[in-house]
Amino acid sequence: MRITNAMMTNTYLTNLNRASGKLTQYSQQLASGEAFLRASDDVTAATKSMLVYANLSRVKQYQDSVESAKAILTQTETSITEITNLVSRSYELGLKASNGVYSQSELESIVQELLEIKSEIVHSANTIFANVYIFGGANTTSAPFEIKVEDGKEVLYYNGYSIDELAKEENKEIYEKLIGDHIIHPIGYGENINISVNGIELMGVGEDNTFNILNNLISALRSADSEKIQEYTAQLQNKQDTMLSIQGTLGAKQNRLEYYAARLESDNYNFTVRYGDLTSVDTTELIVKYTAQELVYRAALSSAKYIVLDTLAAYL
Amino acid sequence: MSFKGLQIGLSGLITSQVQITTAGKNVSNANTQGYSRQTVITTPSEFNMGVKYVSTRQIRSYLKDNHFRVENSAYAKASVKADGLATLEDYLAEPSGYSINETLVKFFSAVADLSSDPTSLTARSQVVQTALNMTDAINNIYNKYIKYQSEIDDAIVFDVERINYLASKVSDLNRRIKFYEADGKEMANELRDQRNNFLDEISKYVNISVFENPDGTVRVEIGSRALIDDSGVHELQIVKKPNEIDGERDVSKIVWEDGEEVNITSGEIYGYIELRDGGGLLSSGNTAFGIPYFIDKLNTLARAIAININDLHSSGYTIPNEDNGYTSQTGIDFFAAKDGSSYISAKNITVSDVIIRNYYNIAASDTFVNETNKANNNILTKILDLQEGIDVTVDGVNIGNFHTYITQITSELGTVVSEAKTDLQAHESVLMAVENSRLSEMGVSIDEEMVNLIQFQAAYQAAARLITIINENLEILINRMG
Repeated sequence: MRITNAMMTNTYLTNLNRASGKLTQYSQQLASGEAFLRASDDVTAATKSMLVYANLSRVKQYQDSVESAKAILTQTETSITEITNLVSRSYELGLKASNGVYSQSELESIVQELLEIKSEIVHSANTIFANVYIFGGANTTSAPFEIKVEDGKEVLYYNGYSIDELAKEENKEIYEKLIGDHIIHPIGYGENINISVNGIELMGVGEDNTFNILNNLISALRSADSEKIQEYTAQLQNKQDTMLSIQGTLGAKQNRLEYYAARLESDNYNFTVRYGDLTSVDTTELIVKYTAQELVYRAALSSAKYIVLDTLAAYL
Repeated sequence: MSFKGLQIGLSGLITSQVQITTAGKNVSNANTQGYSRQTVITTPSEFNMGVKYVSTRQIRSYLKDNHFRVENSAYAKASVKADGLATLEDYLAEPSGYSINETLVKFFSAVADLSSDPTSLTARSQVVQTALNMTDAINNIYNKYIKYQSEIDDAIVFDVERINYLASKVSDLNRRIKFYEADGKEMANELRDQRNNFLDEISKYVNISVFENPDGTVRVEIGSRALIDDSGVHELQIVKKPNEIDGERDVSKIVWEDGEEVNITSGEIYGYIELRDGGGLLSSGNTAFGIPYFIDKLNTLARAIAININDLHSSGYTIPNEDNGYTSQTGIDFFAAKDGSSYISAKNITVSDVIIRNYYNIAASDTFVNETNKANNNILTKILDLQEGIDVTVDGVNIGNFHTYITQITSELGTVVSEAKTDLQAHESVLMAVENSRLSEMGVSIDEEMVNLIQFQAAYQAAARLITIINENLEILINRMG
């Protein structure tokens, strides 16, 4: 084959281009620290990284959700403990008063304390945490409990419904709806946790709700009816038990949330590591490649002066 | 003794001079694009009168020229496709911070935030803003693709004009070469080089076949119809045809004078056509992976997002506000078409006006909302679950979920780009080999020309020496004798 000058320069230029193209790619990767800029640089890694990225974001959403559920749960526990303590205290007071050895003025001071306790309980049941009324079910924007006076009698309203009325058969549907109403916290794909305790679960519905019992106890104390006092005190004990059992379920939910938090934490870690592996360059390997390529490029450059310039003309 | 020897010497001198001049011409054109080296044809003179100059001919292979042109067309097509597809990939911008996937992730994060606090106006406005960012990102890519498609169409028109111009040049050269070579002796070397250069350039734009006639003219065909023949140039014409993408402006179709479509199968223009019209393997038109294919994918994505989220959203209830007459509403779409059309696509997807007017119109709750019945987040959690589903369907097709689908588009485009790049490299190597093989024959080797020069100079010296000797002999004969 005849070798002509144009052939040599053509071939040389093409090879030089390829060498510098590779060098540019390596230096770009080194400078940016990213293994690829476009999917076509490494289709498998790039598309995997996109899915891992979406998964990672989903895991973060679950983590946020679990964190906020945990915070609300902790506040719920605190408030329920407060309310339980208040109910226990009124039970003790009722027990004390039913001994029947107290004078009317002493009974009146017990009444005063019970009035105090009553408003404390309603206040606690309207606890706001992070702008959310935690005992309001889905209603997080306005105080769930409200005391209205009807026919000279105090009636407790929950989300606009009288809780006395809610126990009635005709209101069953509304009751079911209210008790099932809550903010869902997603904690995994298709997995939700209901951490909210409804105010009506706490207070009970119908005539023998905590609020009514306290009111009844107060009027019994005022009329010094020891039989009634004993009756209502016994009812308070039942309420106390209900609250303790609610506290028990909250503990179980707390454990479940801890378990999910730990699992999501490990998911987050795995996805983050995987994302890093997929998208960032192996610097050591790349530097070695870069150095080798630089050598090739320099060799190609210096060969130019022999290939391109030298002809027989120079030696004649 | 006669003067015949002097004549022989003279013919040697003249021939060597012509040869030296030709070698000089070769050396000076060593780097001229498309120059084919020339050589002097000599023959022994009749009646023993020394050497006779016949002609200066170029050394060039018709076969290798044709081979080069076929590969040149293929390379130009591969180059246009690699460039064009890479541009599409750049516009898609996956994976990066400004991509659809990223805006989708941000949108769902905002929905998740709202889900933790469904009545928060701040969280609601975040949902609307991130949704708008996402629809903008989709609209933006669609618009860029359409703009790029029309740029490609313009490029086709420019190429056609260039082909017509080059064809007229070739036809002109045909005429001049025929005239120049009419006596059958000299070859129009330089004109032929020019014509070959023009033909090489045409082969960059479109697949051509070149046939040389005995009179030195060439006939040029595209898909077995003549572009250039004895009668001159049959110019390519542009007519309009409907765009492969519904509702976008008409594109150019290349036809002959009588309206028959030009059968283009390679070259830059074919690369452009594949990019412009390629609707994928299942399409009824061009089956390459071009802009219409990826627009179709974007449309599917936009529709999947809009239809699936709307389905859930329209079953939910809004929070009463001044916009809805303080009554909780249902049946409201989250996404709508910009132009009010009922068909949502990548071109027109946006957040519906109702939502933008009042953020409380985001229907988070699956039950009627009023004073006693507050908003829950059941609709939002269902929307969030779309992120992970594997059976999101749109227009009867299961697309997995939004993330897997956009990843699939990216992966397809990435694969097509990386294949196009590999293809380009392969064609580059082949073209270089063919070009080198052609240059090996027609190219100038300066070393060779130097050796030739030495040889021609030596021949000149020898011829001169002959003349001196004969001169001396004549002197002896004329002056010393007698």
